[in-house]
Amino acid sequence: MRTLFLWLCLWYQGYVKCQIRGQQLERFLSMCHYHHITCFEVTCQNQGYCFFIAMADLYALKPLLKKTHTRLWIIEKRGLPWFLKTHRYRRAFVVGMILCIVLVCSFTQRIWAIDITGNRYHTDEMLLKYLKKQQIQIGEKKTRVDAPKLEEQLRIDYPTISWVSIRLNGTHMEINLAEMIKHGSDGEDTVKTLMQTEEQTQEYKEETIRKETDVPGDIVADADGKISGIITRHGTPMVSVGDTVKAGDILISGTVSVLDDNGEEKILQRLRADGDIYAQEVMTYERDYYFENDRKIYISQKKSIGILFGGYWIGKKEYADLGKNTEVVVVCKKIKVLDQIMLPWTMVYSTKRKYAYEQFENDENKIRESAAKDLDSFLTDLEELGVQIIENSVKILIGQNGCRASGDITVIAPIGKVLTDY
Amino acid sequence: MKNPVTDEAVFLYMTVPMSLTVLNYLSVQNFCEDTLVLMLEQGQMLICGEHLELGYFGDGEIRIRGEIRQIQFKKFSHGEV
Repeated sequence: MRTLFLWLCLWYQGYVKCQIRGQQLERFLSMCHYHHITCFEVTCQNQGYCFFIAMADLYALKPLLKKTHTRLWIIEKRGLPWFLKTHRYRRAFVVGMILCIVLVCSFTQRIWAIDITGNRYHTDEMLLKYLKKQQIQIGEKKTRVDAPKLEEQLRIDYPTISWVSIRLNGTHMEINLAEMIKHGSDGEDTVKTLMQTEEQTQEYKEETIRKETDVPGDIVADADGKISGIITRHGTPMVSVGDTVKAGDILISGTVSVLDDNGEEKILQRLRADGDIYAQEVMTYERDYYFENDRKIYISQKKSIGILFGGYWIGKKEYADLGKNTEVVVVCKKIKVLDQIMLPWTMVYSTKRKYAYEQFENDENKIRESAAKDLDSFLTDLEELGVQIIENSVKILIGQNGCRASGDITVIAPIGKVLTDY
Repeated sequence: MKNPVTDEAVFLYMTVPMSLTVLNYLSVQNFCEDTLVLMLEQGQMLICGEHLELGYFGDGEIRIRGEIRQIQFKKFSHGEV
C-alpha cells in the first residue's frame, strides 16, 4: 500500500528513468542515501545502473555526479507533468477525459432509473409519487436509500401489497412486489386499475376492504340466455336449467331462509351469493369485406434523434407539429454503461412518416380467405375465454361490392355478475 | 544474524524468490546482478542471488528484489571500520 502511494506521488510529480555509468557507482548510490535522495527499481544494465527518480530529486543529483565522476542519461520521462506536456495541444481532450471520469464517478453514486415490476393495481405513477414523498426519486444518492426500511414502509402504507423487494443494481433501483388482490366472481377485478390521485387511492382502499369483507349481494344476469348449468355455493338459486333469463334477472339470491327445528322459516339472512352459472346464448357475428379498399402508402420518411435529460428535451420534437396524414414512431432507450450503470439520459429515436391512401382491388378468393381467417380467430379467442361453442351458422356470402360473413354462433358461456346491496 | 555460540557470521540459505527489506543500512559497498554488499552499523551484509535489483532505495531503508539465494552477515571485529 505504501509502495502504491509512493508510485502515485511519483506519477503526480513526474519522474524519469535514468542510466548512470562511471567508476564510482556504488559511491553514487551511497551518496544518494546520505542526501536522502530516493531511487526506485535500481537494476544493473550495460555496466551501469538504471533507476527511476522523481523530477524534484533529479536536479539534486548534479553535485553527486560530479563528485563520483559518473555520467547520467535520461532514458524515459513519465508522470502527469510529462503527460500534460505531451498533450499540451490537446487540452480540450485532456480536460474532457478528466471531466468524463469525474462525471461517471459522481453519476454512479446516484439512482438514475426506478423499475417497478409485479404491480397491477398500484400504478407506476402512484408508487413513484409515494417514493418521492419518501425522498426517493431519480437523481437521489444511493446511500440515502434504506431498502429494508422502505420495504417495511411500503407494506404498511399499502396493505394490499403482500410482498416487496427493493434492490439496487448499479444505478438502477428495482422494486418487485406482489399484490394480494382477489378477482370477483363476476369475472371483474374487485378494484379499479387506474388510480392516479390520493383520493382515488383512498377510494380504492375502502373498496378493497368492502369487497373483501363479503358485502351481501345477488348474482344477476348480465346478458340474455338459456340456463344450461348452475352450481350454487352461497345463496338461493332463483333459476334452474332450461330457464330463459334476461339481463338483470336475479340468478342466485343472497337471501337465505334460516329454518327452526320444526322446519319453519325463522329469519331471513342476507349474504353474498356465490356460484357458477352457465347459459346458452346466441351471438350474432357480422363482418363486411369489400373488393375495393384503401391501403396506406408511405411517401416519405425522416429519422431524427433527440436526448431527454431529466425532464428536459434536447433536440427537435418531431411529434410536436404533426401535419395531416403523418405518423411518428418514437423509441426511447435509456443510456447504460456496461449494461449496469444507468445514466440520466434517454436517447429518443423518432421516425416521422408521411402517408397517403391508395385504392386497391381484392379478388374474390382473397377476401373469402380473409373472412374465414377472421372468423377462425374470433372463435379461437372465444374458446380461450372458456366459452363452449355449440353451433356455428356463420356463412360467407359473395356480393357485388364484396363479401359478408354473417350468422349466429350458439355458445355456452359463464353468465352473471355480483350486485352488492351497497 | 548473530550466532549465539560462535558470535560470528551467520549464513542463511534461501530457496524461494522473495524480496528483502533492510533498515538502517549505512551505504552500498557493491552492487551487481548477483551480489549486493551493504554496510551496516554492526557489520557487513552480503546478499547473493540472481537478477538482484533494488526496488526501493533511500530514506534509511532498502528493498532488495530478485532470486535471493544466500544472505551472509559478518560482524566487525574490534577496531574494524
